[in-house]
Amino acid sequence: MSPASRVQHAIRLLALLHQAGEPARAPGDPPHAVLAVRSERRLQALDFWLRNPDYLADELVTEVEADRLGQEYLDVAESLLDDPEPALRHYPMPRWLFGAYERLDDAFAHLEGYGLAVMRRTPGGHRNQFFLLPDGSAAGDELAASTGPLGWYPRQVQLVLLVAGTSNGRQLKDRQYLQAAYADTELGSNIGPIADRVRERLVELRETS
Amino acid sequence: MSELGSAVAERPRGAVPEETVEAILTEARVATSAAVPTPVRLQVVSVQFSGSKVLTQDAGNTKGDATAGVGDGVTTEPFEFSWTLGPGLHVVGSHENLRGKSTVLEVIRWALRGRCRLQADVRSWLRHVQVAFTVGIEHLQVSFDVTEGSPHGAVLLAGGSGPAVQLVAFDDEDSFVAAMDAVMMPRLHLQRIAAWQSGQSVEHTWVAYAGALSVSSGDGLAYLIGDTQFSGLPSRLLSMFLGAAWTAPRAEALTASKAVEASLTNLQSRDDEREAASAGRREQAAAEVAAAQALLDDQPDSDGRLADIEAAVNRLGGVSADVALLSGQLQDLRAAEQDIRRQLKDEQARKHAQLEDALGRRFFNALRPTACPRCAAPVTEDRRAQEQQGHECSMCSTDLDLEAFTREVLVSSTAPAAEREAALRSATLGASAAIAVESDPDATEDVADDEEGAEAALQAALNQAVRSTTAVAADLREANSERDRIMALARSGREVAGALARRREAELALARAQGALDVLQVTQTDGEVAQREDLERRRTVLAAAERVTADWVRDAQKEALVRVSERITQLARDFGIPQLTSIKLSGNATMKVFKGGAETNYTGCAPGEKLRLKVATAVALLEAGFETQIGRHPGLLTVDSPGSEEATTESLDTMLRALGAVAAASAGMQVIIATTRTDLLEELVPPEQRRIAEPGKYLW
Repeated sequence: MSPASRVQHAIRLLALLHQAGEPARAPGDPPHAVLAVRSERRLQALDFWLRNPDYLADELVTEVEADRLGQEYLDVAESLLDDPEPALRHYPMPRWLFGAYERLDDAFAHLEGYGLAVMRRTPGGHRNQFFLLPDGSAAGDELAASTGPLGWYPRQVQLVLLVAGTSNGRQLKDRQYLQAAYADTELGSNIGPIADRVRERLVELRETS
Repeated sequence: MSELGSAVAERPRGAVPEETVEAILTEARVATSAAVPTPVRLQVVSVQFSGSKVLTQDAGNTKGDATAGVGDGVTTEPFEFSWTLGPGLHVVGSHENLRGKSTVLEVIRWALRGRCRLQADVRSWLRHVQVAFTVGIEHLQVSFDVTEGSPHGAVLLAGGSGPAVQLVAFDDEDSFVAAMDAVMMPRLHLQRIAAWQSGQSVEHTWVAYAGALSVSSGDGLAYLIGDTQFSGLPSRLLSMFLGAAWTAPRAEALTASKAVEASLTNLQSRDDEREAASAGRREQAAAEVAAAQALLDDQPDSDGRLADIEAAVNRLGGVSADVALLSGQLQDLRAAEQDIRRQLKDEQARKHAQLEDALGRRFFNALRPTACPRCAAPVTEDRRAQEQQGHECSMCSTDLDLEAFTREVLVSSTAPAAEREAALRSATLGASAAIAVESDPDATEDVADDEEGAEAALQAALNQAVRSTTAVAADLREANSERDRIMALARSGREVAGALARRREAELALARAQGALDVLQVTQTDGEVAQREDLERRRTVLAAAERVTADWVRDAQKEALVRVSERITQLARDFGIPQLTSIKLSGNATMKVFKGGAETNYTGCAPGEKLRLKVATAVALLEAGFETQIGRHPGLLTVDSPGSEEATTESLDTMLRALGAVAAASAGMQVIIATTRTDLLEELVPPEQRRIAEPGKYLW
């Protein structure tokens, strides 16, 4: 599986910022910034689910199991596993100390070059915060309206957010650690697929429900 | 070939070869030629006997000189009688009955035949008897003592000058009979008269002959000829006396035929007995066969099934190998399929990534760059103009690839080749395609026509792999179910083998029962069959011989019988049956009697008539033998007490006179009569030929 191109990465980030960002009203936020994602770990975690439909399906099953989502999401989970569309957009991520991680500088630079988003370090310099600018918001709208292959990402982000909710980056990473295959992956290696295990869970759940 | 053999072989013609006929006749001792020996004459030469009368006082014995007493009221009186005889008529007579004349005749007859017909008291009185005969040219002397009625003595042959030679001795009546038979038969050249009685061949020889030489009143009149009745005996005596040449062979053939018939009957009854004996066991064996058959029928025929199972189990190794092979193939095929599927998926993902990348580039290319993301230096209008005209990047002023630029693609001439290709790929989408691709997957063809072949080839390879996998999987399923089926068969094989063993056992039981039944089937051995065939052949021959000889005897006798019948008629009239019209003597020794316009037979006549007819027949036969010189009548006749029947004195005289005439007619003839009719005796009989008791006196 070849890694996604810088352009594809940029598209994902645009979709994530556009839909997962919170209003940028905090003091010190760049002027004109519309939305903000204040944790790279959260952004990385969201991107992981976006790029690994089998892990997303696993989370959906868990949510149905926990009765936080309806039974109809089992069908959604199944389609994530078996439909060709998600498989075409499966881009495994390597695992680093803080979980799945891929440098997003080049991709984010792409957004910055066109004046769609900006990244700022927190005053303490410990965290990167990501802001969507008005042109980025317009581009995000245009992407969300697309019915072509690129339009798939905004729709998938909705499912990711359904699972992620408002959890912060650490909470999301903790959840991803629970996904066994994810945890067992050696540092620096791509996180392996768990599609088979999820299918089993689906069958079990359908049989018991 | 003998005369009889040829004739027998003719009936039925060719049924039995002549050689075989001869052999059978010889073996059965049937004479095949009719050589009739010249008759040999028999005469009584002398008769002597002595003993002691035992008389009771009350018996009214008038003889006063009884000297020896044996007890109260009982006296004994020795007696002795001696008479020398010659040829011709002899008479022993008394004026009253019970004067001892019959004793004289019976003593002669006893010595002649060996069999005693004396009354018990007289017999017990006798102590010694001696009777001399001439037989042909020989002088025989029968001499015996009598102890308590039982004879003990010998037959002596008197030589011309030397002492007498004992021919045979006897010590009871049976051996006496046998002795006389042995002495007389060969000397008289008499053929044995064979007859069949009570299942065994009996030869009524001298006793039977000699019986025909006597006529006695009373019980002796039962039969026309002789005093013995056996099957056909009178007719054979008749034939013998009438000199029919084939009489003896006929009798021999008949007897042999009956013997063979009896053997056949024995054979049959033996078979019948054997059949009956085995019938019960055979029934049981048949029942056992039926039971075994039923048991066998109940057994399922597992042969075919077991064969199927064996064949299937034999295939198990092959099928298992198939399963292993197919499993390996399927695994490989699935791995290959997975590999192809992954490759295809990778290819599709790669193409999709290219598509997304191209679409993304177009998405961003539509936007205007604003500032450098690194240093935030703004992208000015000048720099935008310079990009259009000077072909420098409006952001970093790097020279742009001119060829790409002419296709409205912005990419640095120093950018990596892959980046330039991706950039150019976005240009090929075209303005309209960029929108169309949103919903039309076919639009992707525009992106990568050159790469379409790879996916198609992979898809084709995948299809092929799927087909192969499906086919092999189906084969494997088939092989597995075949193996399962075989395993199930093998498990059931044990049951079937058991059923088969039971069936084999039932078959064996049936065979055993059938064998036992077969053994019990009564079959004649080859020897038995041959024996039966031999007997039947002999019966055929002997029966034919009997018929042939019977015909010949009948033909020969026919004329003789007519003459004899005329003679008997004449004699019987003379003897005192004046009303007799005629008689007709048949070959079977029966006599039809026509008298006073009525027809009767011998046994239907009154005792007096019987006596006359019997005497007339005896005389006629005796005469006929002498006339023809063929008949074997020995020429001796004894007639006892004709007067005891109700004959008149006139008729008795007539008979006496007639007998005298007969006896006188031939020198070799001797007739001895016991009678109470004494008036004519002096006139008819010379003194030496008569012994007459004085009136009131006893002969001895």
